[in-house]
Amino acid sequence: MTDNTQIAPNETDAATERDGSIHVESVSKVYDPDGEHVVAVDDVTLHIDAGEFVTVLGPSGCGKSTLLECIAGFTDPTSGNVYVDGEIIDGPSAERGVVFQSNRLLPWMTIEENVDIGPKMRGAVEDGRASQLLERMGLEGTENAYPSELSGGMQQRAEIARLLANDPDIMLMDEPFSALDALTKEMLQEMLLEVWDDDNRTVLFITHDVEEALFLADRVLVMTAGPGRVKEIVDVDLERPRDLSMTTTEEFTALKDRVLHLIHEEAREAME
Amino acid sequence: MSTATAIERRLPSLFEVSRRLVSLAGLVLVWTAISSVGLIGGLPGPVAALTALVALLGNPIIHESVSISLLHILGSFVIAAVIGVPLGLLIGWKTVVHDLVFPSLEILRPVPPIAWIPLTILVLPSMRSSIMFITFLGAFFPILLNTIQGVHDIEPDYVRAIESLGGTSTDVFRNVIYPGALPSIHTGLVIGMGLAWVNLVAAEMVADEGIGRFVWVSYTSGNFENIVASVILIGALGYASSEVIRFVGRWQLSWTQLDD
Repeated sequence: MTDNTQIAPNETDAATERDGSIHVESVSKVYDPDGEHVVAVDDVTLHIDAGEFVTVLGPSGCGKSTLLECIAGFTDPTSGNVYVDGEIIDGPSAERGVVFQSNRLLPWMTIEENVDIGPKMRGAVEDGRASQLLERMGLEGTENAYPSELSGGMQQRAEIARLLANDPDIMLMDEPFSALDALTKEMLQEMLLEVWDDDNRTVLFITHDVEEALFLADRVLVMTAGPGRVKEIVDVDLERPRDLSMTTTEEFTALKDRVLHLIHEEAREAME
Repeated sequence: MSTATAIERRLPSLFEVSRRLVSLAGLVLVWTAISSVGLIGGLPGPVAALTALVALLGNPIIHESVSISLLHILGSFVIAAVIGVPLGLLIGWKTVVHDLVFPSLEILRPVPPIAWIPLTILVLPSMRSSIMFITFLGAFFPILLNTIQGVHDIEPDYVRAIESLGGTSTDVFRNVIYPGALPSIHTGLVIGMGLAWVNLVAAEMVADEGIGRFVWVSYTSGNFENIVASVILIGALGYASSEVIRFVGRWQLSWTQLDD
C-alpha cells in the first residue's frame, strides 16, 4: 500500500501516462483470390508494451504489411484477435495512427489542411497547432504548399506531423522510409527517435532494412517468408538516446550479424 | 508560390496561341478551296457564310431561337449534373448502390438519343419537355460514368488514412470521395456539355423549336448561307459553353495543375 503511494507521483510524468499496449493473439490472415489460398500471416502472437518501439523485419511478401493492416483495423484477421489496451479492436481508430509507405497526404489539400484534418474531423482544431508540428518536423513555411510540391522526405515528415496532430497512443508505420535516399532516410530515422523519446508512444515499424530495424527498435520481430510467421524476436539492448554513429559499434555489428544470420537461414530453408 | 505558378501555367504563351490560330486558318483555307473549286455544289465560301452570320446576328428570330436553345441547354445540363454527380458518387463509392442501380442504367445508355424522340413526344406533356429530356440524356451519361470512374480511381489508402485519423463515413465522403473524384467529374461535365448540344440540335429539329428549328427552316427554304452560318453559330455556342465549364473547373482544381 505504501509502495503505491510512493509510485503515484512519478506516474504523473507525461511520458509515463500513455496507454497503447498491443496484443496480437494467434492472428492468421488468408486471402482467397480466385479460390487460391494464400496465407499471408500464419498464427502470429506478439505482445507490445505501451511505449515500446518494435520493428518487424522481413523480406517483401512475407505478410508484414498484412500484419500491420490487421492491427490498424483495415482488414479483419481470418482467425485470432488484436487487442489494444486489453480490448479487441473493431476497425480503424484515431488511437492507432498510420504512416504509409508512400505519401498518402491528401493531394487536394494544403500541408496545413492535411495536418489539421484529424483534429478538424473531431471539431477540435487549434490555431497554430499545425505550424507548431510542422516546425517540429523541420517543415516550417510549408503550410500553404500542396503535397506534390514537397520532396519525398518532406512528404513523409508532413505525414508524421499529421499523425502527431491527432496525438494517438500508437504509431503504425509501414516501411515509411523505404522509398527515400540513404541520407534522407537516416535523417528521418533520427527525427523519429527524437519524437518517440519526447512522447513515448508505442511504435510498430515495418521494414526490410536490417540496420534500420536494429537502430530504431527495443525489439526486432524477424518474420519468415510467406506464410508470415514469427521466426524470432531479438532484443536490442543498445543505449538510448541513439545516434547513427552507434551503427559502427561492436555491439551493433554483432546484433546485425545475428539478425542477418537468421534471415539467411530463413532464406535457405525457404529455398529447400 | 503555388497560386502564382498555377496561374502562369493556365495562360497559353504567344507561341501556343499562334499555333492554335494556324489550326483555324487551315480550316478556313480548306473550306475556301473546296467552295471555290465547287467540289461540293452550292457550298458557300467563308466570306459569304460570314456575311450571312453577321446578318443573322442582327436578326430577332435568331435571338429568340438562341435564347430558347440556351434555356434548354442550361435546364437540361443542370438537371443532368444535379442527378448525375451525386448518383455517380454513390454508385462509385457503395457497391450496394452500384448493384441496385447501375445495371438498368447500362441497358438504357446505348440507346441513341434520336431513338427516344418518338416515345418522348408521345409520353411527355410538351415538345419542350421532350427536347429537354433528350438533351438531358446527352449530358447525363458522360457525367455519371466519369463520376463513377473518378471514385474508382481514388487510391484506397486515402480512405484508410482518413479512417485511421478517426474519420467517419461522412468524413471519408467529404475529404476523399468528393474531392478525389472532382477532376473526373469535371471531365464528365465538359464531355456532357458537348453531347448536350449534339442531342439538343437533333431534338429541336424534330420538335420544331430553337436553333435546331432555325437550321431546319433554312434547309427547307433553301437558304444555304444561313445553314452554314447557323452551323458556325451552334459550334461557337457549344464551344463557349464548354469553355465556361472548363473555366470553373480550373478554378476549382488548382491543386491538380501542380502535378507535372
